[in-house]
Amino acid sequence: MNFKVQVNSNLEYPITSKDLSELDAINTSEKHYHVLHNNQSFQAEISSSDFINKQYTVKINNNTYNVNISNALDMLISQMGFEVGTQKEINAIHAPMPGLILEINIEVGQEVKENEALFILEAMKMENIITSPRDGIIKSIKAKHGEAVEKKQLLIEFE
Amino acid sequence: MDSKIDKLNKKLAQAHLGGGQARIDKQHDKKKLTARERVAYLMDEGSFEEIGALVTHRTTDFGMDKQVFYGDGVITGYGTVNGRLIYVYAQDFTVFGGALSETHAEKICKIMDMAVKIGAPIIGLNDSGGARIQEGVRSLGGYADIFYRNVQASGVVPQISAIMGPCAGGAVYSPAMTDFTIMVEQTSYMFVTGPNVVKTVTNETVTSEELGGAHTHASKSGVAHKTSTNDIQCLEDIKTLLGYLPQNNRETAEKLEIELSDEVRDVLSEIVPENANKPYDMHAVISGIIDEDSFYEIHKDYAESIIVGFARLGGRSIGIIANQPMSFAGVLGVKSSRKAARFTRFCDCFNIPLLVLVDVPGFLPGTDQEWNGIIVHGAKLLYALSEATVPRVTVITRKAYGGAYDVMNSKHIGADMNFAWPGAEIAVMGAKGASEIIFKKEISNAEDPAAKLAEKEKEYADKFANPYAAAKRGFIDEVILPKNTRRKLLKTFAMLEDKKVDRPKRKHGNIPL
Repeated sequence: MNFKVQVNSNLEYPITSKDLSELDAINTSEKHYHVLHNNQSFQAEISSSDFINKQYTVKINNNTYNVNISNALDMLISQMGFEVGTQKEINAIHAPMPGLILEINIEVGQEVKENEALFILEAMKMENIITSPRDGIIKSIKAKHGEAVEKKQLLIEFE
Repeated sequence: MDSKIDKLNKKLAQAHLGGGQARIDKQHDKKKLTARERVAYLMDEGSFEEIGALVTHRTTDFGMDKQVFYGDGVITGYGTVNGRLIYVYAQDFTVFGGALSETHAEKICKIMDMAVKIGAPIIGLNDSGGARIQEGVRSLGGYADIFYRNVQASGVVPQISAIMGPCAGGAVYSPAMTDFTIMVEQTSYMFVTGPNVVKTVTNETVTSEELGGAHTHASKSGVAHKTSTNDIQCLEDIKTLLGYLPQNNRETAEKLEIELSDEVRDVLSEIVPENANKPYDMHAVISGIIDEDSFYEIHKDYAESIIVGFARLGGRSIGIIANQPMSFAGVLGVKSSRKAARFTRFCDCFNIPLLVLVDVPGFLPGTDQEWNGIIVHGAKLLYALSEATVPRVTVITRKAYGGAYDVMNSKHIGADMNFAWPGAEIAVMGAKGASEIIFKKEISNAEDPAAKLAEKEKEYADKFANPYAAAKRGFIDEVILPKNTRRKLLKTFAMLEDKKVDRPKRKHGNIPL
């Protein structure tokens, strides 16, 4: 097994299982270790540990280090560019249902904030307020006031 | 002895490499993890135990005896996810493109049988080109063996399918019979017949992505319950989903520890607009009621006029079904009825209490709906809710009109507690439509029909567009202030915790499929 250890987000060290098995470390209490390395003695304390995310804070001879360990799979995942919680950027708004455009509250070139009302679409006797999914600038408006639109019809494009 | 140990180690090392490094690299180039990497990511670190790593196929035709790989294109075993026992199979695309053989199917069946016996969820990670053609009918038999077990396990242990590559032909029917199907965007597709066959049979030109990609199945067909942006997001989504589910149908989902205070939520008072023609986002009502950030939505992009999903309420796992006024006024249609019915049945199978939030103007009119059988599909939801024996609680936030009032977990079909907000309108139809019918003659004979209609509309609204006619009868147990909803529901679900219902013995009911 190969691991990559990142310390304080600027230093990186590769570590193998062999390095670990050869490490001379003695557990002196629940959180404390005594380590001998290159004929030097170190006092290490695990001040915090997050096993699932493999993040640890270690105090060695009274200096604190943030340590992030990656195994081969973690390295592969970051190399492939996979991330959890990513979403596609929305660049256009399509009609969520068929209906009639009652009101358009924006102009081309206007800057809008997330959740700002863009237009009102009447469907099933209801006046649906379509709000902006994100901050942005309106590039084009494809629907007209009073126009009947189909589901998924393009209404607005963002820059 | 050493040579014997070497022999074993060599075999296991070979099994670990699947179809070899070149094919593993190819899989990575396609933005896909290998089966082994997926299993490692899904399970708690170091918890996975493999079963059948040294299985090989038995085919000798077409030179297959020269191509033998340990594991035969699928990795099977068990491990833990957040400490809970889970059985998993992951098809290995690097071996024969994950094609299913007789032995490949036997491995899957083996862990399915164990999962049912022990009572733990089954996760299937699908990535397969289809049946192994060299084996002929034996591979088809293998599929059917899996299908049969999917059905036997249905309602006994939760079954979740992830589609993380191709899944075509007969292979699609196993995920279709499991409880949830999650598809990875861009890299997965599902169809009964591919674009080439479609072209020759119906003369339609369509890409794999359009025909059966993640987006298509999540929004058009409803085959996919969820889509994920990439492999690890998909595996994370499975882990999150598992958190809401029990291990099997004899247990209830884990209740998380949570500290409660007075639980009044003022934000709930400001959601429903005064004007009945102004919609609002039912998601806001849901998040105002449940424990913070605990909503896990199912079928988010399919039949959006109804919202279904899991949430936590006072740490308890519950299922939520809610009309969405922002989409088609929250009307019940063919797709939305089916979506909610399927979800209801899942919750009932696995002892997950149901909360139903109602703002429904009725069933969707039109030839499209009638010809597509809104009568039977609407009946599915009515049937599923009537049949459910888990605790069932209803809150009417605004409209509950017509037959849809009955269907949306009314008192009459066995709901345990029915609440309404003060602005609720529980009636056969809206005041305007009702007055036009009841007072048709009177209005047309009036000097000023419009004024007469307005007068009669007000009369009807005063009488019926409120929750009190229903409360008087006991159809509504209590009219509550919106801000107290969370508080009331916490108490109600705690009170209903030990609900038990015995039904008369029968083979099974006949839900209008």
